[in-house]
Amino acid sequence: MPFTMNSNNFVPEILAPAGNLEKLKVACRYGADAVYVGGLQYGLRSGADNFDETQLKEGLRFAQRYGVKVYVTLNAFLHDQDFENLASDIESLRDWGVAALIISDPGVMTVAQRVGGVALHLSTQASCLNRSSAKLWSRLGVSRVITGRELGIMEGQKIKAATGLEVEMFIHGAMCSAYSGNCTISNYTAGRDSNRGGCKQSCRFSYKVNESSDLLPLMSSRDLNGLGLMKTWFDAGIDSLKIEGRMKSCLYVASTCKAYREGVNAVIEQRAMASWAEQALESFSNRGYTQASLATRAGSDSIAKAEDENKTKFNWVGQVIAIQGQKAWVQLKNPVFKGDRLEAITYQGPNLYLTLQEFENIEGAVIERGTQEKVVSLNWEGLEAGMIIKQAS
Amino acid sequence: MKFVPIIQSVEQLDWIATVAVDEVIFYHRQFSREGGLDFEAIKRLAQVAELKAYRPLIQVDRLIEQSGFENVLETCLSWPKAWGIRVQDLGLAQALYEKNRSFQLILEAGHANFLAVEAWSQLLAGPLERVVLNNEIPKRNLHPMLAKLECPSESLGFGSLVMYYTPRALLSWSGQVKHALISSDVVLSGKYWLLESEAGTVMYFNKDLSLLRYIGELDQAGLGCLRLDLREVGPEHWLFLLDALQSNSDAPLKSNWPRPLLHGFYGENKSDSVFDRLGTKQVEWSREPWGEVLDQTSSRLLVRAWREQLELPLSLAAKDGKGRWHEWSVERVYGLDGAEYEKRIPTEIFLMQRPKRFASGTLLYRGLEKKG
Repeated sequence: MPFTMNSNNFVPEILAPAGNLEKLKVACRYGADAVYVGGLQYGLRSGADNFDETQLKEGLRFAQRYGVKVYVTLNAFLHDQDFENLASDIESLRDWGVAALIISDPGVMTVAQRVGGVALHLSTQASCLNRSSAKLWSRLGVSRVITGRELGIMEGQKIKAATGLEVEMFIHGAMCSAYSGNCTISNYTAGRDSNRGGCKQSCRFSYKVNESSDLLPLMSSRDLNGLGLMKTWFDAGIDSLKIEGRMKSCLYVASTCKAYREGVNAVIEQRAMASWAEQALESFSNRGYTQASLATRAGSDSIAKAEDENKTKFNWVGQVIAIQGQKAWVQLKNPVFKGDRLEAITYQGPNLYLTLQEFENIEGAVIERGTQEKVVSLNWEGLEAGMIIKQAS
Repeated sequence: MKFVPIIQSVEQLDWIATVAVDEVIFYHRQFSREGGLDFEAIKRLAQVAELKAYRPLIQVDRLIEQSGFENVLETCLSWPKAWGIRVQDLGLAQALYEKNRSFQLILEAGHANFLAVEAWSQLLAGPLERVVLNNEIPKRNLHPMLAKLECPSESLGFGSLVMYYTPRALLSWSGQVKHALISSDVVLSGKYWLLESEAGTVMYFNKDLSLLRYIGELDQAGLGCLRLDLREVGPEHWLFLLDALQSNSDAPLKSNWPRPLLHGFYGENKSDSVFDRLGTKQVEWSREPWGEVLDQTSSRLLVRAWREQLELPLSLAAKDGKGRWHEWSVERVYGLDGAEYEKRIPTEIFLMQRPKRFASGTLLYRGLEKKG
C-alpha cells in the first residue's frame, strides 16, 4: 500500500529489486517506494529477466499508479564496442520516464551526462567508499551515490554531510565478499566478464586450503540484514535503503518489502517493530545473516558457514490474481495438494493461514492437486489481488 | 619504452642498471592491497634509489573507507614531494588533485573503455601524471585508445595477476596462515594463491602475465611504460627477464618461470563474444501487448488485460512456443463466475475461446498490426 507521511519528517526510501515485470508489480504492492530494473543489455544480471521496451513501459505505467519510482541499471563496465547504441538507448529511457539511471562506468556516465535530462546514480559497483570519491563522481553529474557495501551507516552519513549528495546504501541481500567491481575471477578462469553480467559466483563454493581435505567456505559472504538498525538509518539520514536481489523470487520481493516497510513504519510511529517482520526475512532461502559493516567493521561472522544455507525449506505457492465474491483465484508457481498448510503474505500486519481443503480448477472442477502455472480458485477470506502465497513454515 | 619495476631489495636496484628505468615502485605494508615493506624499509630503499637517479613511487592501491580516509590522505601528504604516489581509490585521487599533489592513477579495475579513462584523465588533469591501464583491454581497443589518450599511460608488462580483492581477513579468520594455496574439485580447476595483508585479502590467477614479446608494438602504439613485477624474481630469473626485455622475446623466460606465462586479454578478450550473446530481446510488434495468458482449459484461455477497457469483438495475436504467430477473432468472453459479457469487458481477468494452446505468460497483442 502506498505510504504517506508528514513531509517535515525524513523518511528513507525503500528501494526494491524488480527482475521482471511480475516482480515489479509485487514490489509496488508490498510497499516499495522505488524499484530498480535491468534494462536493455547494459546491466550486471544477465540471468535476470531484463526488461525489454514493452515490459519497461508497462512497468513504468504500473509503478506510476502506486507512486513508485523506477530506476534502470546500466551498471556494466563496458568495452569500447559496447557503446554503439548507448546514447540513443539512454535517450529512450529518459523519454519513457525512468526516474534515474544506475551507472558504474565513468564512460557510460559521460555519455549519460551528455544525453542529460535524467538523474544519475552511482552504482555500488564503483566502490565509492569516501566523501572525496563521491565528490569526484559528482563532477561527472552524479546526484546519488550507492556506497560500497564495506561502509557503515555512519560513514554514509558523513559522505552525505560532506557532499550534499543523496546517499543510498544496501540494507538487505546477497553480497560480494570482494570490493564490487574488483573481482575478475570469472574473467580469468572462465572467459566470462564478471563486470558485464558473467559472474560465475566462484566465491560461493568451498575450497581446500593447502592440500587439506577439508572444504572451507572461505569467501562466501553471509547475506546482509539491516532491519534491526532501522532507527540508525533514520538518524543518519540515509536517503535510500536498497534491497538486493533482482534474480530472487516474488516471494523474496514481497517478504523483504513488507518487512522493511514495517521497519520504517515502526520508527515513524515510534513503536516497536512487529515480530513478524524479522520472521518474514527467514521465509526464503538465505546464507545466514550478517550486518556486515553497517554498525561495526565486518568480522569473521560475516562469512557463510556450510550449515547456513536454507535453500528448500520454504516454497512459493503462487499469487492471487483476482477476488470474486468469496473466491480467490490463485496462479500457482509450485504444486499444491489438498491438506497443505498455506500462508498468505498480507500487505500489512500478520499473515493469513489456511489448510487447503477444497479447491477448483478454472473449469469449476474440484481437484486435489494443483500444478505449476495453473490457476485454481479457493475460499479464503481476507485475501486481496496480488498477494503472494507460500507453504506455511 | 620505459620500464617501471616493483622493487623490494637493494640488490634489485643494482640489477636494473642496464634497463630503461626512471622510476621504481615500492609496495607499502599497510597501504598496498598485496602488502609490502614497512615505511622505514621503503625510506632506506628510496634513498638508494634516488642515489641511482630513480624516482621512488609508493603504491597506495588499497581502497579506503570513509573512517580511515583522512588518516591515509594525511600520511600520503607527509611523504617527500619528490616521491610519486600511485593510487587506486578515486577519492584519494580527487583529494590529491585538490591539494595539487602529483599522483598516478591505477585504473586496472573496470575502466575498460576509452571514455572511462579519458573522463578521469581530463577531470584530474594537472596533478595526474599517468594512468595505469586495465589488462583486460584487448589490442584492438588498446591501440586506438593510446592514440587518442593525452595522458601518459602504463600497463603491466610482466607479473602476477590479482583477480579478487576484499578488505576481509579471509585466511586468519578461518585459522589459516596468511599465504595459502586453495583448490576445489567443483569450480576453478587448478590451484590459486590467496594472500592476506593489512589491507585485506587478494587472490591471484595461477598464470602470470607477460607482454614482453609485444614491447615493440606497444611502444609504437604509444604506451608510456611497462610495469615489471620483480617481487618474485630471483637472480636466476633476472637474466632471462633481462634477455626478454632486450630481445622482445619471452620464450626463455617462459620455460624457466615457476608458473605458466600468458598474454592475458591482449590478443583478444573472449568475454566480448559472451557479452554479445546477452543482447536484449527485440520488440517485434508496432503496438504494445495489451495482456497475457494466465491459464487455459481445453476450450478457453484465462487472460489478464493490462489496462484497456476492451470491447468485443477483439482481434488478437500471439506467438506460440515455436515462435509462430497466430491471429484470431474473439467474440465471446466470460467472467470468472461463468457469466458471459455482452460487449464491454468490465474486468481485467476473463475467459475467452482458445484458438490454440499458449503457455502461461504468453503476451497477447491486438491483431493485424504486425510490422512487416
